[in-house]
Amino acid sequence: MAIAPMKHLELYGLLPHKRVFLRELQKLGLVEITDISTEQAERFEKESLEQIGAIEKDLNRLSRVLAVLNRFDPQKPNLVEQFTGIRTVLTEQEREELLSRSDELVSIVESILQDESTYNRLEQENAETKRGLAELAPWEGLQLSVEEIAALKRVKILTGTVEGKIDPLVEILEQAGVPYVLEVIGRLADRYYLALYLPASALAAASLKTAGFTESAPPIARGTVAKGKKQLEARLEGLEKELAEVRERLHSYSQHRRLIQVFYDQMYNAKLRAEVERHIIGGSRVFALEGWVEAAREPIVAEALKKLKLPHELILREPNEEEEVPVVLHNTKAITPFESLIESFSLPRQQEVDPTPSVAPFFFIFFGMALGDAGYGLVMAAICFWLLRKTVMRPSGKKLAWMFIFSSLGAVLFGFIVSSFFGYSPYKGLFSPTGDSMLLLGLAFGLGLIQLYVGTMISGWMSIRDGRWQDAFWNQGLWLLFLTAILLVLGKSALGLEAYSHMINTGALIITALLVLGNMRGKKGLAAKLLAIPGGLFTIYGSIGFFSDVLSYARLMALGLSGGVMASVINMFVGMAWQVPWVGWLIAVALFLVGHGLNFGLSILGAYVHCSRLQFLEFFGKFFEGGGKPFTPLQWENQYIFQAEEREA
Amino acid sequence: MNANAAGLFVGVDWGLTLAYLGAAIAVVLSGYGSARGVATAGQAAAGVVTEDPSKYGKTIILTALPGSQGIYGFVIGMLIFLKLQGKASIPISAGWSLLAAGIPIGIVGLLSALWQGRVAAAGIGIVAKRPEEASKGLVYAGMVETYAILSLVISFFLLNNVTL
Repeated sequence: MAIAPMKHLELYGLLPHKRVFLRELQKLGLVEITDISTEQAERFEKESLEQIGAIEKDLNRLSRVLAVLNRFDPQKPNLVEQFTGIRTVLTEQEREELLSRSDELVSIVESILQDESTYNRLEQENAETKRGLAELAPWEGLQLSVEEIAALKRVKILTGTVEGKIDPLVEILEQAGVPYVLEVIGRLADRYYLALYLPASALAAASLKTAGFTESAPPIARGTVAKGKKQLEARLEGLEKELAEVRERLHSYSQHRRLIQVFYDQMYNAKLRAEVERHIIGGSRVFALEGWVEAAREPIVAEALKKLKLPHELILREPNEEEEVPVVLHNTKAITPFESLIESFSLPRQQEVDPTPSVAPFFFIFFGMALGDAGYGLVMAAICFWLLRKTVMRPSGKKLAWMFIFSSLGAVLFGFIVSSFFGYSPYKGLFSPTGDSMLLLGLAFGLGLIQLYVGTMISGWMSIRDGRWQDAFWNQGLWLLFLTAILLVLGKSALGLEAYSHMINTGALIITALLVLGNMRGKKGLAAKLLAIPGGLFTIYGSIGFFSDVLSYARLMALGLSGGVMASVINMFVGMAWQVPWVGWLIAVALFLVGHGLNFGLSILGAYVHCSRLQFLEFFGKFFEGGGKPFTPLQWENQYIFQAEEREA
Repeated sequence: MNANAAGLFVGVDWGLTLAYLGAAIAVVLSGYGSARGVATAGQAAAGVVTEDPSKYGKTIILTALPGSQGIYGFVIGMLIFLKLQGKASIPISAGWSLLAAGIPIGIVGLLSALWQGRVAAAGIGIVAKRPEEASKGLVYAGMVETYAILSLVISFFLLNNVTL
């Protein structure tokens, strides 16, 4: 079926029913609504933007709440969820039940946000108190209270710090010849905390500055340092207790996570609808929207709208030539998974061919060759199957998983043919990839040649389909004949066709001449025709590009070979370990698991990357450009919640 | 050369020595390249994961990609070793041939792994900014690998061609 035919859709209804229709269309998920570009389209622009703004405000609030829940009760993703993300699976009933609790939601959100800001405030105070304690610590040796120091009349007590050494200070004091007492109260790294007892009339603190003395007081308002410390410690204890309480409370809110997620998704979908509303035009009574629907699904849409029992008019027509029609692929079940390859590259444009049916068999064979081991193939298929059963995946993830299952079966098939099971060869296979590596290389080139011929043929077929059969003959037809001729000329001795040597050579020359002449087509006048000849010669040069593309398929052989050699090296070590007495079997099993595990991972990665590349660069280069606009219907898109039925579907 | 220095080489089987050198070149150079390449990609990946730990799965695939050259070099080294297993001596000409066979995957493995590491790091940038396009970064990095694969093929055929 390939690219699904589309129909253009217009829907007219009464203005008050606009949102009812949108909701229904979103539920169906079959219609893409496009922008009607007229001045009238501004009609709902403002209204829609306001609506979006309001919804976004709520969404931000909810996602902040979810972030808080994640902070105080983080959801730890397991290995699989690291790839797929964490999903909450709910049945329709559970969802309905949660949605009915909207009053509760408001109060929960309110209290979570409030508690969080309390928590943040407490945490800040906590940090401040700790900092205060740290600042106080070096002053701990000071016994006198602030009041006592201030009250002294005859003696002056200077408190302060000196960096590095005290000696210069002592020297200055000695020189001044005043009686003094210097007490080192504490020390923090290189800084000395000092109390200097001097007669009240003695030199001012300013002159001590030259010796590096900086006057400063312990950070307390009154009382002794010890008392100040005790106060701070008491405060810290209180804060810690409060923090623990709030943290506990915030942690317990995570039981409401589902409720919040359900509402988040509900609003997210409301936002999707609101965004589409901008594309709708309307008068004072009536609204109109236009968009696309798959031709095959059109009756479903018509039926569903009829069921609403609201006055409306639905007009469907075939797309025009110049319209850009969104693309959706439809293939038979067996090759649908391979669509994920096309989707990761680019979708075809509406007038192109869907490459999926041609990619699928080649990818299957190539992946099989590159992985090349029945054991690895079975493990990969089993892993993907297990993932499909045990995890929630979006449709695209499921497609990818199935593609890997199918492709791994290709490896199983290849492994059986050449007799390779985790690098062991229990029976004599058709040929040995490591022994008859030339044969393997030939197979890789042969398959490459076939794929590139097929690509060129598809390109020709596209021309014929569009009624340009002459182009197909002169461009692709002759081109294929020409390439075949080159192959025959070069390989006639290897193929045992020397008897026909004369015929082959003559044929090749005629085809080459035709190819050069073909370039003159469409040129007016003798001069232009003659000038086209060098260009024609250049076409011949293109064959070098073609054959270097074929060379690129050598990677299939190299990947299969390196994986195979690695596997047999691992098995060699396993065999050696087996000889070790007593614990030999244990070491052997461990070596087997670790070694094959690593080799398996790298082989899968290599096979996937390189087989995709062969499709994208070599194969698509022959006929496929892509750049189609994917079909994006208005539909329910959940961020957090997974419907339970979706999982089984 | 004085007598002592000359004594160092008494009884050396030059054929075997050259062949070992070939295996060493294949393994050491490509292994070094892969280590550097994986390091480049790994640093970028660690940065992305710091911001968003959920991208661990996607980044690890790109990070592992420059590791394959080291494997290719090891494969060639191992095949040379297997060829020499149980041989007390091989002709010097065969030694030179095996040395030459180790060179393609050694040098191209080294350089392609270094550069592939950079492309993979850039691909990890795609994972960070547009995770839905991550598979394209994988294809770019895979393109660099082509040349390592071609040299692996040549190294393999060269060494297969040596008969002992």
